[in-house]
Amino acid sequence: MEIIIYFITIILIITIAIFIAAGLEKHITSIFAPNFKRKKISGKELMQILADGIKLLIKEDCAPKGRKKILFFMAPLMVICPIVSAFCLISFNEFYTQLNDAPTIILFLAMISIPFIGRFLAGYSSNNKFSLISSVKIIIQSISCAIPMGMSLFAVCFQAGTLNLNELIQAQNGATWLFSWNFIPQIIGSAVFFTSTLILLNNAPFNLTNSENAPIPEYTTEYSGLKFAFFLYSEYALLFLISIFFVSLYFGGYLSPFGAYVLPAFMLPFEQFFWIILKAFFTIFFIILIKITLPKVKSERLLDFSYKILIPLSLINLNITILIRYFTGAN
Amino acid sequence: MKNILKDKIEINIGLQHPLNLGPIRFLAELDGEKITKCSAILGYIHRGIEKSAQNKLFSQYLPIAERINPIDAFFYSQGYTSAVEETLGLDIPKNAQYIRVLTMEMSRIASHLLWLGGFSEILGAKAPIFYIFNLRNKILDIFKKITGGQITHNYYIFGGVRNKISNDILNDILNFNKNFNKEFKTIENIISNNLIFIDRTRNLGVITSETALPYSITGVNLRANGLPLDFRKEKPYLVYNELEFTIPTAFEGDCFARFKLRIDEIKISLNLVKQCTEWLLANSNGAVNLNINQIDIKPDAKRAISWTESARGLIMCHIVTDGSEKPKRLKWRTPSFYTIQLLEKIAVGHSIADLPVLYSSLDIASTEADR
Repeated sequence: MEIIIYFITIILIITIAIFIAAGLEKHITSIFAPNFKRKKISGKELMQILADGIKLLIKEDCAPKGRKKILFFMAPLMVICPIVSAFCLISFNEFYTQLNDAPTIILFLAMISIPFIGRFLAGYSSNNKFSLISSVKIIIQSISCAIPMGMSLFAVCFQAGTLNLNELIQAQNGATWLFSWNFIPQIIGSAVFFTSTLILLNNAPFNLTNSENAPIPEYTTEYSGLKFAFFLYSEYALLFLISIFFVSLYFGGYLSPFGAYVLPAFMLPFEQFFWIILKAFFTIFFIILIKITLPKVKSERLLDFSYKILIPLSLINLNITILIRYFTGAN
Repeated sequence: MKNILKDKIEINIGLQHPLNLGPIRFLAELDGEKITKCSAILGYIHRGIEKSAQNKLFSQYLPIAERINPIDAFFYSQGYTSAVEETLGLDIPKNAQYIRVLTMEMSRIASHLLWLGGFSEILGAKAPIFYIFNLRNKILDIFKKITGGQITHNYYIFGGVRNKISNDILNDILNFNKNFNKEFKTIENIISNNLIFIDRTRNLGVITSETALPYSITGVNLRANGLPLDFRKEKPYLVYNELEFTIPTAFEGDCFARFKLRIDEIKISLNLVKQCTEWLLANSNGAVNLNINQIDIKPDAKRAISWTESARGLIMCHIVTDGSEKPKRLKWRTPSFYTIQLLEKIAVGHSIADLPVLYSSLDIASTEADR
């Protein structure tokens, strides 16, 4: 019973977060269009996103003739299921202790690499040349973001001496408020991790799968109705998930930036929840800002960038962390 | 689908594609990501503009000539009117000549700005186009004040231009000219200092003058290879020989050189606009047309060719008259038609992601190529 309630709560949180993220994206985009600037995000505008969702639910589900049936059906599920279940590994406050003995960071890393397979299969199985070209580019993205991401992540784990997310956040709780968070000792690592999340999220400047100037990612070309809605939903859910994970690793997660908590003690779970969500939306804001501003790179350039800059940097960061850990006498 | 990893695949880009200014289709043969063959397929916006001239009075064709490429409307008007004026043996008044140069140079700025917006959009940067369009709209507003229309104007007539430009509008233009550089500088910096932008355009689609000349490429695409061939200097028409300007060139011949060159051309055109406006403010009393009856035009049996350096290259209008009130034959040389043929050649060997960049950097308008 508890699991069901938790699951429903997670789904609700994700959906509301997607609303806000999509509204935020619209608003930030409008700031960049000086002719059509809006004053604020209205309620009607958020309802528009809901209406889009309902429209996709009741749309007819078309599929191409020569598709690989099982893979075509499986692909959207393989994208959305790991992302939604990965939310269960996140510690929204310090009272969520069910998974305290589990190596949640390893689990998390496994979860967020599955959507790549789903996206690739979506392009591969839909009997479309454009989708196939796009799905090859997904492989390029996956091989260029996985290693730097993992390496910079392990550096954090070495520093804290744990593989559990909740313990990792608690390890950042220091005397010097926000300056005891991980982003100061792990400055290279956090930069590398953030850059690789841009690749993972298929965000500019690394959005290879979008055809030049097409509004939708190519691997979803043949999908419609609910299946397409799954891709769209998972895209924003992943944005939200990665942002929360990023702030948990480097920006203290649910910890207050002022050291002490503001609200009275019985409100602590809600205040901690507020802090982690606030930090996550700051990250989302920057990611959307990058999405609008930068032009995109070519696929060979992305591989260059990943293998010649990101991976060496993350390895240097990992080695420095291990050496410091070794000489300062860790547990 | 079975041998997709072994065989070459053919994909269609277009007919309607966001990167296009008009309908055009590319059929690209891919080996992996590399283009091995690329053919541009025209004919989707053929309107029979050359043939329709034979069934129309000289003045009835005036608005049609603009619609060959509405972005370059003034240049096509100039091409047609000056060809007809040559058959009639007319010398148009000085004021009209200055007004024509003024409007054409402003049109050149507007065209290059539109190109810049589209180019940055194709490279994936979504923001610059909005700022560029703000700037371009100011030029279109001035056109609206002068001619009544923003895109197509029907402003040039045989023997001059339709009406005078009042001093208020001329002062507006001077003001615009003064403030342009400040606003344009920020846009230019956003784009040209971006590492990704430079990385994607440098050494891409290099055209040498040996490849460009057999295809009779003109305009910026040729001048980016170091050949300073500009028909404003080569065969001066109107009052270009009285104005002071230089022809900027670049030597690399790649997409980045073409980008830089268009930026330079905008600055040169701004200077020309300033010179024309100052001249017109000093001599505001002269007549702007010869007051001839536009409908009753019957040139003798003659042939005439006019040339105009448009934003995309050389426009030529070849007209043959036989003494009647309609032209016997009319032929246009439009620059984009030649550039498309070059694109088919230089696209080979590049990756598919670069094809839109190449296409855009050559500034091809398919309405112009098809006529």
